[in-house]
Amino acid sequence: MPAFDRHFWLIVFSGASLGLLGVLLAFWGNPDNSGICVSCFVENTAGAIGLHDNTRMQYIRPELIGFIFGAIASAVLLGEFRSKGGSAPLPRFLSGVFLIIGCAVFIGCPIKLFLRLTAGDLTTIVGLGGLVAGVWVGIKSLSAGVHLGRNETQRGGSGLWVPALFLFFLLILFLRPGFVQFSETGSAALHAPLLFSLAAGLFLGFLAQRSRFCITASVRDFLLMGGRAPLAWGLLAFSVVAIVANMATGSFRLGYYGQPGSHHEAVWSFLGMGLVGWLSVIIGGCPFRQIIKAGEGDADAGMVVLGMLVGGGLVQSWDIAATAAGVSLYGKVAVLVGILFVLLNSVFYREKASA
Amino acid sequence: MFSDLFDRIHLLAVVLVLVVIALLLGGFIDRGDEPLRSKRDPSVERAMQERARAAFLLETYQPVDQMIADKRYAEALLKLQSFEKSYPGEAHSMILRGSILIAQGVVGEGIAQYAAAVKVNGDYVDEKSSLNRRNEITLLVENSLPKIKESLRSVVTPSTEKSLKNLYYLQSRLAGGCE
Amino acid sequence: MKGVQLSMESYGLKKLLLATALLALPVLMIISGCENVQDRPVMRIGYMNCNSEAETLARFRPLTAYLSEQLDIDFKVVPVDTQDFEERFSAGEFEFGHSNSLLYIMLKENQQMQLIATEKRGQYGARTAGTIISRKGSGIKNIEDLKGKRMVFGPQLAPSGYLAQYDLMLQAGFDPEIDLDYYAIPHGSFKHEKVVYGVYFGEFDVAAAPALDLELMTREGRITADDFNVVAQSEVIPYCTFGAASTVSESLVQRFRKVLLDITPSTTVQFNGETIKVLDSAWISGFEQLSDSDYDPIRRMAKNANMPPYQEF
Repeated sequence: MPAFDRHFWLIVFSGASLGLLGVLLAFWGNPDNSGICVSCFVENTAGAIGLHDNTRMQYIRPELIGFIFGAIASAVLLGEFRSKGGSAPLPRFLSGVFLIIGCAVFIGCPIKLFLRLTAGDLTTIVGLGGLVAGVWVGIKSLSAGVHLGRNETQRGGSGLWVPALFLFFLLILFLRPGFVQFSETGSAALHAPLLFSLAAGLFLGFLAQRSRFCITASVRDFLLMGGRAPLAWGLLAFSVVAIVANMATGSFRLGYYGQPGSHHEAVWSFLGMGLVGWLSVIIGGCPFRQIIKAGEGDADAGMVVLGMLVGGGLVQSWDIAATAAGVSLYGKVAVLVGILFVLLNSVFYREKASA
Repeated sequence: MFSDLFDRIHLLAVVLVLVVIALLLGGFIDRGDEPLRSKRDPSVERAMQERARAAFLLETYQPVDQMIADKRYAEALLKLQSFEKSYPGEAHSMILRGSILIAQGVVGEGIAQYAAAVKVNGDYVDEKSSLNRRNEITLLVENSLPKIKESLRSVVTPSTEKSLKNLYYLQSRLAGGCE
Repeated sequence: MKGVQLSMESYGLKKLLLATALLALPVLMIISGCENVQDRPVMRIGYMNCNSEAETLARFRPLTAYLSEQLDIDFKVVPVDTQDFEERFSAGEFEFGHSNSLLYIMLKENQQMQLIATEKRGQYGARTAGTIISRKGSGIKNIEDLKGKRMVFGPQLAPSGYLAQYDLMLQAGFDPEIDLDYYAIPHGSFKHEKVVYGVYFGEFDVAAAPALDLELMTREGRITADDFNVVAQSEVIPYCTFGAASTVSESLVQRFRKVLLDITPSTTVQFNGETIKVLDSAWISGFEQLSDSDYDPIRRMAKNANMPPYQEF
């Protein structure tokens, strides 16, 4: 069993808060089962700033801005904000692209996977299997010596620029200049009140930075340590609270068919989430964790976030994103290219133990 | 940091540039001769285009809507064919055809047309859209799903399986999600 | 020396035996193949001629070849004129039939034909309908306006070219035998198109046009939607139908049905040295399994119109 110390309860509280707010944000207006979905939010934000032209997916999600600034606030308060980076920036950028591709083919990030699962969406079970399998392969890769290198403290404030970018997003969210697009129909037109979303993002960003909570890290730690892993308990708290909240809000619909934002192509759900799990372990966190780390000044995570934004544009422009109708040919190829990318990097970045 | 002249000059320059940006955005500085087109707000333009498109579709297809209301289904189908020549791939033709086929009891083909229309244009299941047909599609799904499932219990055919798949798709789109 | 001679002779013998075996093997294989072809049962499918025997053969030979391939039965194509269909079926000239849905009803009622599958074509899929059309601007907009007018019908045994329209008029209290000025049926082939052109060029006031033909002619640009008024349209009825004689085993009927239902637009067959898309060559989009009760509207129409198989003299 884990040590039931302050850090443990902080993790459990973070997980529970993420689960609760994930459900409540949908109840308050975000798309069904997508109260928090980093990949969907990134796609929406990418569309708003003109990286794709799907008129149904364009909105700067305040939650993302909240995550970054909540993390900044927590890091600054604790004296943990420092610019660091320099570890394989281009592979990390591309990893961000492929993270979004994997999520888009599944239709959801790991947080949304659990929100959908706790809402009774049985199509996510295969995706969960893929995520666990991907994390497991990632663990094996790490133990075989694959790593992108340490990031180091950097001079010059490199860790400031992604937060600056999100500050810009915050400004244009409120000022609404003409070059920013906001959908009037479609899923991006469904959103909780702006201040609610921003406040929830700030709160969760703060907690996540303090607790280091991350879905894929929870899965990873559970595979490595079982019940002794505090993060696994955090994920459990997330799930339990989310189930109760879904039932309380009437959002729980147990079934395989007719679920919002889901498809039935099990193989590609598995592979998409497998790609996400595998990549997340190698780069040190799921899409949500990357945003939090970018808020701590981690420029490597910042590169991942930039890659995610570009990926958010590509998956819509290139018809990669899956829909309820299924996964497109380009989506399938993109996931396979992503797997190829991780395979090659696992070879290129492997340090074999000397004899 | 900012201990010597070099740093202080740069800091001053940063402040100056920020002030100029603020003055420009605030309109306090003459922006020069802007081309007329830049006065049009792109987001307003886009919103107008979307509304105009929906209004165009509703107006153009109004004769077909009237034929459907008068139960002149054969004429309506022929009229839709002529629209398809002018507007190939337009989802509005598909959804109207779907409603005509359902009205005439040709359920499998009707469901397929509804699903095809929603795949092309998700506005038909969007409450905020002027093309919204959620109620109609919800009724179609609620009425057809039990019958199709019942029919599959006795005999499984590719056509019925396809109809079921289309109904599940419509059901999923009605439930919401990120599309 | 003698020992060497003997071993050489035995070596030559071995070579001879090996050569014989190598030659015999392909010959035996060919013979065994020939025997398989000869052992394949032969059955016949009667295809109702829509317009001509040549058209029927061109449309349905690839489909028939595909059926032969899938069912391991040597199917022969038998083109049959509509008016001869029942007689030749009852004479046993073919075990399977592809005909319009009225003929299916006739053969079902009189010859216990087994229903296999219904053909899909056009936007109604496995169904169709009959319409009564008039020229735009003629002022003929409903059945009452047909009084004293000249009408042209399609073939008498055409469910959507004659029967459906006849029934429509009877249901409206209009007797075509009395209330029309006169009616005619064009001779020759392409009757369905002829009736449409008959109205279009003013030779007749109204026509009994199948909805499918209107759709196809509009799609091809031969007519436009604005050329005609659709005075009335019948309820939808099943389209052309595959059936089997009562002597055909149920298992073969089920296999035949499954093959038809599983054909997709990309299904091909090797025919006369070419790879041909089965559905495209037959001008159809697929097959659907309907139940016999789906044909009840045609039964009702036939009874109402005193048409076969319910005619009373």
